[in-house]
Amino acid sequence: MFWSIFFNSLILIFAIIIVGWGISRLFDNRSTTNKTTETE
Amino acid sequence: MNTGILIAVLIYEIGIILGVGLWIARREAKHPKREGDFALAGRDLPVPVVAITLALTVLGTAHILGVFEMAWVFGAAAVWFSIAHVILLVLVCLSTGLWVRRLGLTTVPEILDMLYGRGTRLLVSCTMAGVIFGILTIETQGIGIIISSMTGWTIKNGAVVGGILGIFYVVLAGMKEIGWLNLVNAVVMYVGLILATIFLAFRLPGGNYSSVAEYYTSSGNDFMLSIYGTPEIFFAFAVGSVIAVVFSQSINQMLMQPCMSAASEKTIRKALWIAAPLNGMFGVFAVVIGLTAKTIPEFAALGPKVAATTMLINYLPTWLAAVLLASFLAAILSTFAMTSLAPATIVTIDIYKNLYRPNASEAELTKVMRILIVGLAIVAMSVAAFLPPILAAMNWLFSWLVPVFWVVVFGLYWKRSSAVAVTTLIAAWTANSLWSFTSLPTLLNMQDGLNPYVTLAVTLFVSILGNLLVKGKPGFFSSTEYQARLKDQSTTNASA
Repeated sequence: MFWSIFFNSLILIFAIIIVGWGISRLFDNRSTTNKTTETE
Repeated sequence: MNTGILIAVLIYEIGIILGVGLWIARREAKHPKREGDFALAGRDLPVPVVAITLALTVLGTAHILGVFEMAWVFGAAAVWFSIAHVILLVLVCLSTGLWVRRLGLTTVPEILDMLYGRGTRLLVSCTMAGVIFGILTIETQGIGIIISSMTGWTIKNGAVVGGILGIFYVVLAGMKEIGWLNLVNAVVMYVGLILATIFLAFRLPGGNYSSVAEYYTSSGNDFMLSIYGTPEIFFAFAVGSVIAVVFSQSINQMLMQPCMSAASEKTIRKALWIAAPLNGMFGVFAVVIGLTAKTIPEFAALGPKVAATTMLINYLPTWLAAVLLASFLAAILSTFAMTSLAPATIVTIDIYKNLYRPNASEAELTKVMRILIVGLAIVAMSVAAFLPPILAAMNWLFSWLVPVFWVVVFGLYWKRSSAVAVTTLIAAWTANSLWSFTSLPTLLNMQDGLNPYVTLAVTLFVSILGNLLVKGKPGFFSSTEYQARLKDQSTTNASA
């Protein structure tokens, strides 16, 4: 029971992060804001 | 009452808070004062500190005591409360947090000034400081409940002792102190959670969690073992939590302040990979503890509010119960610290400095922030004694920030009209209060507690219609002001 809840949640969490990351990259590429404007 | 546990927890909290706080305060005293040292840690926090502070800022009373209770009703699907925070952290680390860092802001209302002018900034300053202060009173109540469960004291006395600890969590060295304390506490919390899960399994029949699974399967409640629950639970609870958490919290000063304190935008992006799993996986442990408590008759008889904490105190070895309760208390204290620092920063920067003392020095601003932190915490301790119902209070409070998020997003990407922005804010705030304090939900034959949906619907309706009908300046990100601001920022960064 523990492991099933553990792994299902872990997979879901990383899936959300990866999808979010992908959407943000896609958005960045289309946006006028480029990397040189980042505050490093 | 278990005196051993109480003494161990208090020694840990006092030791770590004073140790880390005084160490940072002494180290900082040797360096020359920089702008934003107290509120923003000199804008140079590294990835682990930003990540853990983001994760722990939104991991408070509701995550711990709330998820134990939710698991009782919804089963493993209660983990969606944590998943909603994972989505929130994705949004913060990949959009809102990056915007506030890029623009070099100290408070969220400053962005409203940039987009719509001073009036909107002041309106949002007062509201946001008030909302976060409201959350502070709820966290104070949560600290009172945890201390009361360990000592048998009244919740009021527990809140006073916890409140004093909470003040020291932030007042010695500000944001930097919160960040480094969080780093230590997060490690202790996860070690405690993992050990507690193992020790708890040993106390169950067969030495593992199969008896818990059997309890739910044999009673025909298999759905309580799945994180997706039933379709009804999924749509009502899981989707509902996501909407309520994501739209109300993603522009909250509490979460933006650690992002503003990050060394760079890259730091915030990287922090996501630690912050989101750290916050999300906490829910897994809380859900398993909550589900287990319900299967043991002696704890089930106590009801959802205290069953899980009582089980932990009774089933775990004294030292482990102390570690776990100390880390739960530390997680709530970290939220307490951020919820007192955030409104103190808003009042100091947006009201005190903006309206009365534009040339105030960093030392003067730090002094004002310290006085406000102590003052707000004392008032929160007194208010916590009245014990407002936690869930209803959270629903109403969080909904105040829903229109702020959309007004900022539309202003950055679409159109800037201060008339539309102010109308949207006032319409959504009025709807939120009417929903909570009048019989409007009954008249419309709808449930109470739908405040996030109601404010979201009013916000989108008024702002979209308003922006379509009224003329305004183009979105900030496509304006020349934005380019000029970025140029200013890079000059400031280069000279720093």
